[in-house]
Amino acid sequence: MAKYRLEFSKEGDAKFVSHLDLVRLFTRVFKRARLPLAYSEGFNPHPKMSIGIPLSVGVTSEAELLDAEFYEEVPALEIKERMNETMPIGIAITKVQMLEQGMPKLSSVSRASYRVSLSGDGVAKEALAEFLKRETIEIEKKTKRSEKLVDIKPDIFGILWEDETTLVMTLATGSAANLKPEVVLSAMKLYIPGCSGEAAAVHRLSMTDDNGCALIAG
Amino acid sequence: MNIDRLLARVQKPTRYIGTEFNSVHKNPEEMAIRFAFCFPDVYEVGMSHLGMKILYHLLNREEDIYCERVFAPWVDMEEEMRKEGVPLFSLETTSPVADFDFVGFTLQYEMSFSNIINMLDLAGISLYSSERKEDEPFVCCGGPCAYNPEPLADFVDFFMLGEGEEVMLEVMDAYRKWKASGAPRRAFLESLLLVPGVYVPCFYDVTYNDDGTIASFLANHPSAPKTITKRIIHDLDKVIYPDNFIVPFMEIVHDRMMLEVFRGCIRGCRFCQAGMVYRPVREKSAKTLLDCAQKLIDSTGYEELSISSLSTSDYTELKELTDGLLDLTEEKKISLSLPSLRLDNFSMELMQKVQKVRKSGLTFAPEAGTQRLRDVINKGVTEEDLLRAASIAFGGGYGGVKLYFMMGLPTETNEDLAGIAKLAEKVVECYFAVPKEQRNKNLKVTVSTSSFVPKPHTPFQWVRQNDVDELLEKQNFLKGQITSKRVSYNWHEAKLSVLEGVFARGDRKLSKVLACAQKLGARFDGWHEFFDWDLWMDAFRKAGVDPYFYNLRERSYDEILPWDHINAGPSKEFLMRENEKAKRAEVTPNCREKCAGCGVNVSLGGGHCG
Repeated sequence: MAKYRLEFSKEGDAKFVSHLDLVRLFTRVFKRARLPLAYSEGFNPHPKMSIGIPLSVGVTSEAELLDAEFYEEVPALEIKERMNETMPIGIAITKVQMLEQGMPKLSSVSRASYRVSLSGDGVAKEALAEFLKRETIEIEKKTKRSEKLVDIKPDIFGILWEDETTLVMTLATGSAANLKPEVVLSAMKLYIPGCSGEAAAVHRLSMTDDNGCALIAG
Repeated sequence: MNIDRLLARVQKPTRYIGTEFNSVHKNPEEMAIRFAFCFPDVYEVGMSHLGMKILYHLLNREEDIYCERVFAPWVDMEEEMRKEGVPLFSLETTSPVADFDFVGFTLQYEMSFSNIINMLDLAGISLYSSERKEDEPFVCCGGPCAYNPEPLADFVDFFMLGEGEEVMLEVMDAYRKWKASGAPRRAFLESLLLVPGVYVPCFYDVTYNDDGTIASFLANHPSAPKTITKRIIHDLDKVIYPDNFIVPFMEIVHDRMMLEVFRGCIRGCRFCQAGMVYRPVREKSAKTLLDCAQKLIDSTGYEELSISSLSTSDYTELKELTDGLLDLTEEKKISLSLPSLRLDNFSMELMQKVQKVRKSGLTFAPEAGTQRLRDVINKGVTEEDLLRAASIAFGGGYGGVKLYFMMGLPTETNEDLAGIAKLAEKVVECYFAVPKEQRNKNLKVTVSTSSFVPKPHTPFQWVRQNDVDELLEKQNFLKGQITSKRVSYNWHEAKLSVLEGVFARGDRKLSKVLACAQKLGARFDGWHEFFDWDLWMDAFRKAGVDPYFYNLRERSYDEILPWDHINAGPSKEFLMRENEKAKRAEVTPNCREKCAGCGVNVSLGGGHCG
């Protein structure tokens, strides 16, 4: 048995492929690439593979992570090449690393950075700074039963202003806390006069652990 | 066109993107011919269709042709498209369908006809063939419902009858020549009169009697053939077959590899249109199929492989094939499914092969509840066959058995319906006859009934169909007969079957109804949530057409039927003979036992059947 961590990108129309569909897609890619993906024992065997931190449909990424277990070792470069030969348009393996004892699990992802392109006039640098200086950033969160106010401020690690319509957001991501860029945008619409709160495009740039370290080398 | 903003707002956006693995990408500007292959249903249904995969592969092998796929947008997408003025588009290049040279629809079931009209409307293509301008695409159709093309004849420029692998390329050739000549639109349609298997409706005129029946059906062009004979492929081992199915992103209805093992059927069930119009039986060799299976496994990565045919267990090399397939699939965790198994040659060995990787439920189709009625329809299976098969299945650990029947068959009585319930009870008894430790813990026998729809080119093409009330009454009667708690019963909506019956045997007068229904909002009629009976009745009233003319009367043998100019293979005399034998509950042996003289080997020039 050998475990690998893969990083892949999701661009163009592939951004519409859902998390669930992606799992099926990769199972088939492993088969086509003739890689020895391991399966669980039992009546209904399933592939030993997991994709970390689902990406919202419609968001592109250059930093998705996938862990897979193989029955036998295959050189990392070969895995990457063989998979990329048989990938649908828009999805590509960018890094492959063999997992060794003690390396962080996918579940230790706790933050992600996104490049957000705003539609319309965007937002002024000063207005964004004001927004980020707020003590709390409360928005209404709908649950099945009720609506309640939640403060998303603690889940925002930073928003960099590149120009009026381009922001880079670093947000809490993962099982403990998860803040989507769309939610931040709706808060901006609420608190920043004239901000449309609508994104023309959202792109995930990276995923890291608490210390800002990447979960894959290279 | 960029449709991202629409895709962000609809359910299942992967229905509309054309970048799946194995999809074909060419530069449209470098192409001489652009063909929009349209399936008049939603993506996940259309992508499950084998014919589309074959023809997509066939056309795209030609260097100067680009075949792209088009599906009916789901209702949420249609709403967005109409709101934003986005026309019907192709998946691969998001091009407007109106920009193509050909717009080809495959006709798989009558209940998709309203989607065709709706798709033409969404594409902004002139609805009626006679109104189409010089620069508009040619609208063509093929598939099983083309065997009665008349309800769509006013909308369609030409139909291709029978198997498409050869005729499509001949049509493309005719198009290249026509295009080079610079001649007007009509000249292309005229040139198609010389291509066997092509029906061009505008070159035929129909007149009617006062009672609505056809008085005459005559060609109005000297080159138009009197009858159009369907095309078949004589040697299936030599015909092209896709070895690289498109692998969709989303889960589709038949999300698997399919191996077509043979065409046609030796059985001759009298209700079955497929069994008649796909004659004669032609098999692929096990060797061809195993080669193909290997390629499909390598090129798709699919986890399931299914055999496709009208009656899998009639394949002569079934053992070699299934053994060979298991060698290819078992180790790779690919499950094998063998649908369409007949009751009378179902075996333990076959069952074990299917369940090696995964054990799913089994479906058997006795079709009718008594031996008399099974003889009427020439199904040929007996109660003993069913009970033997059920015992094998239960003994092998299956708990779920589904029994499929038809309701409303000719000569049917309450006794036949009660027979369905009795058969189901006997199947339950088979389960309890299996030792407790051997059988599955959960028993579930499901009886499922559909309503019989008389189809063109079958021995029952002349018979009266039951009306809605009769069918409902029969369903209620059967519900009352099923008393066992172990048996559950589900049935097909009667109204849907009645409407299907109208279009199955319809004529050109129905085009008005279709146009009218589309305007009233008819679409996705095959989907229960969208089928609207009242809307359709309204459309019939507005168009001044009586739906019951088409299905509530027994036709006489000398009536000109709307599809009489189409030769699907079996002769009309054979169909009459079979209909008479049905009335006497007389069985016709299968084609391998004894030739029934259907005439297909004469009219299609093959000379040899299965």
